[in-house]
Amino acid sequence: MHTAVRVFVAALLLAVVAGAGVHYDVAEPTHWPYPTDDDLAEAYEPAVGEPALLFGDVQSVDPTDNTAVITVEHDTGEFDLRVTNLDTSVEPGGTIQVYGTLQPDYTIAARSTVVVNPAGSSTTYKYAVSALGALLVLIYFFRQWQVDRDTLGFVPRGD
Amino acid sequence: MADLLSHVLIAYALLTAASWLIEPLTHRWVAVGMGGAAIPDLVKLELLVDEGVIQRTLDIPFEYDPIGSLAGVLLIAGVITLLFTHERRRVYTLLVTGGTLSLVGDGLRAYADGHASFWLYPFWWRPPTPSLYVTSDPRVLASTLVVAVAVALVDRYLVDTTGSD
Repeated sequence: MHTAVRVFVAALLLAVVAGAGVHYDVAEPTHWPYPTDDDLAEAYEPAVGEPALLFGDVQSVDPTDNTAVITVEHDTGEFDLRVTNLDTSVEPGGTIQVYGTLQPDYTIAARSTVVVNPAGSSTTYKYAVSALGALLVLIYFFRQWQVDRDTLGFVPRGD
Repeated sequence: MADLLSHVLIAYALLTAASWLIEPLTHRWVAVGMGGAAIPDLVKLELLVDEGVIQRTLDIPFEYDPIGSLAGVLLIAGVITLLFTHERRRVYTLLVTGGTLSLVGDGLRAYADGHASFWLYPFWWRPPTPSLYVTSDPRVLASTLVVAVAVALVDRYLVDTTGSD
């Protein structure tokens, strides 16, 4: 295959990926069964009583009554949300998912929660470990393959 | 998603074990599969250029999420395949296999409402998840490390790889 053809087809495929990115953003709300964080930022009270799944960074935790305050980010800003019935242990700085019923005054009664990051340091851990993964895959790959300058493509090493 | 290191190790372990049974699956092809396993992690491009910046600059709706879905793996594996000059069909198969392994692994992550993220986009939005783990749990990486090291040792000392590369 001619190099120009390869570049053209690759660009075409990347354009489809970008198109999927646009389609995804447009189609997502219709496939999300709950009010989105953007919906709630715009008008909270109409959603009271509905179930919701929200992600937020933990600001403070009160273990005496199992509540926490989380900050939910949305497209154009953020808002604070009080979580009641919290059944997991998490530190301020951590990230949780809350599934529950929306209550008046920016409060959610949790039915279940998942601790995504128990503390702020979890994000650092994930990025550090992922950087190691990137390094490993590059080293392993280039021990087996090399770039052929004539055809501008990967060819097996040692052939 | 599970971290990139876990993704790569899982692909390494499963494909290397498969190579003991499947003759043409040599180390060289396991390496391609490991590369495929990293494809869904390209969604982290958002750390370089925030999707909000793209939305505002071009004034269009946009999310990176499809990169971390089946659609993204099928398309980006195609782009990477074009970087190879020979045996493209096998390259593509291995890339998609590796990428799919990572997606399935991520599809098992915990969600508070029991439905996974959009990993099967655009075919199935939010399939159910058994909620097995969260990525920040160090036991995820610890167990994949143990399995990968075991596989590497078996591959090196117990499996006859004469004739393979």
